[in-house]
Amino acid sequence: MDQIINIKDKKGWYSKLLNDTARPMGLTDSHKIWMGVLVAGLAITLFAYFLQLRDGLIVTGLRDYVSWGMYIANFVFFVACSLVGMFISAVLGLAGAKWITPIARLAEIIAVAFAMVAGLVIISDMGRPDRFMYLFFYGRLQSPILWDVTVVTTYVIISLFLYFIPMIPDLAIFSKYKTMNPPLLNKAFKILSLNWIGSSEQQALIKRSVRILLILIVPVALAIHTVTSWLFAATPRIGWDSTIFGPYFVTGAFVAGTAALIIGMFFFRNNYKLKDHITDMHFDKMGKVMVLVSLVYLYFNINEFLVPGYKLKLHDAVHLHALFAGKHALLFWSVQLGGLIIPLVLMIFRRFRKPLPMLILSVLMLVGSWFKRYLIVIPTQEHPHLPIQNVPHEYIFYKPTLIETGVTLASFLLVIVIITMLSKFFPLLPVYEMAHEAGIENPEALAEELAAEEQSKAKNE
Amino acid sequence: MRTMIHHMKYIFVGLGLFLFTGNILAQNEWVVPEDKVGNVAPFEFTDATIKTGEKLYNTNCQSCHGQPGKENYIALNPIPGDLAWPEVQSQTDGELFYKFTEGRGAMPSFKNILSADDRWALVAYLRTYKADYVQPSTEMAKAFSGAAVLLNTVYDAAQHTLKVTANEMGDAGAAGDPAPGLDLALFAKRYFGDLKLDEEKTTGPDGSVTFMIPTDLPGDTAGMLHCFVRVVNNDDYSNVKEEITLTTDQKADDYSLTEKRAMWGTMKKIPIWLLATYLVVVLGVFGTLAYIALMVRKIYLAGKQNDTN
Ligand code: HEC
Repeated sequence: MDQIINIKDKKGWYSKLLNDTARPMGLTDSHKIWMGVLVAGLAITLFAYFLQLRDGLIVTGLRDYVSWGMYIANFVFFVACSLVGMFISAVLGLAGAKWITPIARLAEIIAVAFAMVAGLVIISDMGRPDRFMYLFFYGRLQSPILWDVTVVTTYVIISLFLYFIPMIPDLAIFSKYKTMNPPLLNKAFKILSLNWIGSSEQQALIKRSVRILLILIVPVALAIHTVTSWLFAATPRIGWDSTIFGPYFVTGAFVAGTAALIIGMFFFRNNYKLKDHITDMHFDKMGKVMVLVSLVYLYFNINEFLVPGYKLKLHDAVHLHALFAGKHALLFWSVQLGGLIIPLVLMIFRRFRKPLPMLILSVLMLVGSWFKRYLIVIPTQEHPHLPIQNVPHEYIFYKPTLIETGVTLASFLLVIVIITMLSKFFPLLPVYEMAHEAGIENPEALAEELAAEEQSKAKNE
Repeated sequence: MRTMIHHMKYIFVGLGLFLFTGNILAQNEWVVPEDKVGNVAPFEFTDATIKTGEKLYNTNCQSCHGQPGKENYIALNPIPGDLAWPEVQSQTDGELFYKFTEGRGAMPSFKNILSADDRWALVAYLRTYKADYVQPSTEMAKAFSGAAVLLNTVYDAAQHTLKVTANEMGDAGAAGDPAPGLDLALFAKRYFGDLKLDEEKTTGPDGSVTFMIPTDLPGDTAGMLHCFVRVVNNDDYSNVKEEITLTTDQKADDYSLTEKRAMWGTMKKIPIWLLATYLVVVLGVFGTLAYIALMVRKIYLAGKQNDTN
């Protein structure tokens, strides 16, 4: 923050930062309405899940041939979105990009929410969720499915650590700076701030643990999406049987996650009135980042489709035809053009890297990312190696049902609920870190000083 | 909607058939020679026969014809059709028997694959889809005209040949005159049905034929090859069968693919390297996380100390 020069300015800026961060925290009326809407939505969509529990997976469009449908596509999408936590904090952070500080926590919140719900999405794909524990009793470590369970769980834990540990000083600051509504929140802050006093020993401990976590999360995050891709690539099926599936998924995840983060940035900047902290500069930078990750993803797309498309091996040809010119062509080209290439090209231009255009382009990319997963998961299964015989027509082609769509919607609502809770009850901006970077030596003391000043001002009036 | 499209298809097919003249229909008609139309089974159909027929149907016919009455046959040209259809069931036992004995185009011939008794059992099973079916009297079955046949085999392990001699059955089961002009086929018994070895051969004037035994055909775990010879060109003899067990140098591998540690094994049979890699990685990561948790605890303790100071 080069623009802050003298102590007085610093103090004013810091006071605004604290106030802006504290303002949306806690229970507000609009928040209650928002939560009400979410909970009502969840109630309706969870009823869809109840129907599925009662009647079994027959209520979905899943059958013998296409046995992985919307749920698994959605799972892959969620895992993809969750990668943004690692991407922002670790990849950009460790590379020394300072501008990411104000959005790093938001990235971590998005990561935690998507990664946690991804596990639930898998359970929704189970015909007999009551047998979930069998996975641990009878699971085989030879199967990528168990590796996936392991890495997703690990990633959730590391992300929670990476969310919580840098927040410890912030919690201490806010427990002293302002009384929160409800008051219980203040108590929670006090407990969760773990006696933080900002001693040099504590500072060193935080620095060290965050650094270790940031390094650790890189391979784990790469593993979570690589292993997810192996769920497909470890089978000899057309369209999945690919050696580049790991990096193809990982780069696709960076696109999806970055899009999710930009949408989040726009939403919180407007609704939490954080325009002075999440600035146009951040959108501009994220736009550039998006261009980079999209180009890499495009490169993998070209490899993934051009190489088999050039050879057109017998079965590949059937599959590729369905994507390029057949049944799935409209969706395929919409996703590739509307969800990747066009937004990518537009983002090259500065004027499209402003907040609103970035929001629109990111929504396109996020929706495109979801449908891309759909196109990866479903068409392959419509082309089995063995001829299809003696099966009812509706067994061959997949069409998601209303109930299935409802359950999928529930998972999205759950993600939004988690993001809302975490952003509402805990400081969204890492004020301690931002203050440090702005050159404020002792943010805790300054916060107390500001609090005292405000109190005396209130008394005088 | 789909079922409607499905029905529309039939309507179109029906229209098509109607518009095309009988000329083409005549071409497609499968004419059964007159002397075969009246053939009937030489035994009475019982529940046991029907059961046998059903089993045979499921292994040999269902892949193309689907389940009778469900119209889920596969799309071939011409279509195999559903064997419960009235146009099939209105044919005589002899006609049906002839059709799957001889085959035509995509419809395979089962003459060599199934014995006559088995083929009649199939008729018995198919007839369960005809409500008013009454089996024609077995008396009408052609009286057995020829003499019974005796097959005799001689195996030459060095030359890998099997010589089979057919003789008419003489008095008291003794071998009588040689039986020329019989088509014989040699089969090896395998897990999934019988495997035909060499070609079909016709017995010469001395009533004998010689089959070549492939040298690369594995026997059972003891190297034994279980075979049989059967008369295939004459339904009257189709139950005449001579079983022989040959020794080969090719023993079947008797170790099981799931015996050793492998990627496809159960958890107990996991490859050591995989288990070790998994444990090292997981313990490494969770060890690090435990270390982080300790650091978080230290933050807490450090604050407490300062408090009390
Ligand atoms: C490889 C596929 C296939 C298999 C296996 C098969 N069929 Fe057929 N079958 C056909 C086809 C194709 C036709 C139509 C042939 C034609 O009209 O030229 C047909 C025709 C028939 C017909 C004549 C139907 C009519 O309308 O007159 C009968 C009877 C029949 N099959 C019985 C059987 C039986 C019994 C079996 C099992 C022992 C069997 N098929 C196995 C493909 C098959």
